[in-house]
Amino acid sequence: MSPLRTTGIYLGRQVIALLEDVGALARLQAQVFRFTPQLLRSSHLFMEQMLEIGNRSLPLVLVVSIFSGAVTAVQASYQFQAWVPLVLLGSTVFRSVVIELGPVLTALVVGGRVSAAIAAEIGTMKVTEQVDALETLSIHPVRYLVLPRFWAGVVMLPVITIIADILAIMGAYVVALFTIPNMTTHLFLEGIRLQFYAHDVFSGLLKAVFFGAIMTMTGAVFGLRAQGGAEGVGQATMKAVVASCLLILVLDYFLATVLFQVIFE
Amino acid sequence: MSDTLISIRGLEKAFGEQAVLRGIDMDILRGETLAILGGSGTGKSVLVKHLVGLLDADAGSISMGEGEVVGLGGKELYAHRRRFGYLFQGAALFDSLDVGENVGLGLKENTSKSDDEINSIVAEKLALVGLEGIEDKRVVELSGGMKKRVGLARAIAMEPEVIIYDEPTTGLDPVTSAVIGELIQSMKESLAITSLVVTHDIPLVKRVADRAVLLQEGKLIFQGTVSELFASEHPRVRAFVAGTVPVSDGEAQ
Repeated sequence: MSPLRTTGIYLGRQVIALLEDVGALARLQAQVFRFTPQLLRSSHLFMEQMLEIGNRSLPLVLVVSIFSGAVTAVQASYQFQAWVPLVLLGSTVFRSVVIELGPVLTALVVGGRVSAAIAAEIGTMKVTEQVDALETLSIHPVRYLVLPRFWAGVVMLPVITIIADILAIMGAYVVALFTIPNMTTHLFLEGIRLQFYAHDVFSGLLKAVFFGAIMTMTGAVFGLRAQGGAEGVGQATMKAVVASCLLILVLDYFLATVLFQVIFE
Repeated sequence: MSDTLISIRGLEKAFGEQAVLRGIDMDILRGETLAILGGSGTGKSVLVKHLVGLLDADAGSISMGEGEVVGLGGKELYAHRRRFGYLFQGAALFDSLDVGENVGLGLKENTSKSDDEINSIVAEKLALVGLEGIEDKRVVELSGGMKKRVGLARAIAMEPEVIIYDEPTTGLDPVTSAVIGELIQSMKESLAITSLVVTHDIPLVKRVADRAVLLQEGKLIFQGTVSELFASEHPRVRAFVAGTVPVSDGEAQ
C-alpha cells in the first residue's frame, strides 16, 4: 500500500473518530437538557459536585491566579517603560484579567482537574459494570452521574473565576506597589476606575459558564464511552483533558469574536 | 411452577463481525431456578443482559407476560427493569457510597419512601444475606464474598420478580461459594421468586438449579432438568459437565 493511501486511510479514520466524538457529545448534551427539570431530585448530588468542583479547586486556583496577576503587572510595566502613563497599569491589568486571563486560565487549570476526575470516575464505573448496575436499578446514568456534574460546573466555574479575578488583581497590585517606582494604591485603583466597563466583567463570566459546561461534558462523554480496563480508563481520561483544553481555547476565540466584535462593539 | 414467565424466540446478537447469539429459543418458567451454562465467552452474560434491556437484540423477541422487551425504551424500559434484581459478576457496588446507601439506592431514587422506611428495608435485606449491622461500612472494606452478598441485598431490595445471578461464585473460595449457593437456595425459598444463575460452576448447578440450558457457539445445545443434564448422552454436554476435552460430534457418532 502506498504511503499516500496509508496516510489517507489514517486521516479518514481520525475524521470519523472525531465526528463520532462530536455526535456523542451532542447526544449527551441533549439528554442533559432533557433531564434538567429533574435536577432538584438530585439536589444532594448537585451540592456534592459543587463542593467537589468548587472548594477543592480553590488551592490550585489561588496559586495560579496570584502569580498570573503578578506576571501581568511585571510584563505591563516592562512594556510601558517611560512611554505609557503609570495610571494605565491598573486598567490594563484589570481588563486583561477579567476579560481573558481570569476565565481562560481558571478554565484550563480547573478544567484539566475536573474533566480528568470525571472521566476517570465515570470510566471506572463503566468498566466495572457500575453504570450497568445503575441501569438495572432503573436509574438513568445521565440523570444520576452527568446532570449534577454539568450544572455544578456551569454554576461553580463563574464563582471560581470571580475569586480568581480578585486574587490575580491583588497579586498584580502587590507586585506593582513594591517593584514599580512611583506606583501608589491610588494610582492603581484610579487606573481600574478609568476604564471599568461592566460588560468586560460580564463577558468574562459568560465565558466561564460555557467553559464550565465544556469541562464537565468532555469528562462525562469520554468516561461513559470508556472500554476495557485500566488502559481504557486511562485513554478516556487523557482524551477528556485534551478535548477540554482544546475546546476551551477554540470556544474562547469564537466567544471573544461574538462578544467584542458584534455585541459590545 | 409450569407457567412461562419469559419467552425468548430467535434471539440474535453480534458485536461487529462476531456473532455471539445465533437464534436462541427458550422459556423461563415462573418460580424456577434456571442455570444458564456455557464456557467462557459463549454469550451467557450477553443473553441475560438482553432480558433487562442492557443490550439491544439484532433479531428475535423476548416476551414477558403480555409485553415485548426487545425495542423497549424510555419509561417503559425502566419500569420493566424494576421487575429484575441483578447480581453482577464483580458485584458492581458503588464505591463512592457506603453499604447501606448501595442497598437502598434503588428505593431512594425510584420510590417515595422516607429515609426511615428505606433504612429499615436495608437492614432487613442485609439480615437476609447474613450481614446485619454493616450499613456504615465502606465498600473497600468488604471481602469478595461480602461484596457479592451486599450486591444480592441490593438486587432484592426492590422486591423483584426475577433475580439474575451473573457468575455468582466466580473468584470465590470453595467455602464462600458454598455460602453463596445456600443464599441462592434460601432466596428461592423465602422470596419465592424466579432465579437465573449464569455460571459454569457445576457443583452450584447441582445445589440450586431446577433446570439448565447449555450455550455453545451462540446456540443452545441442551435445555432440560438438572437430572436430564447429568444423564445427557450428548458428547458436548457430557464433556462440559465432566470438565473434559470434548470429542467432535462426528467422533461421538
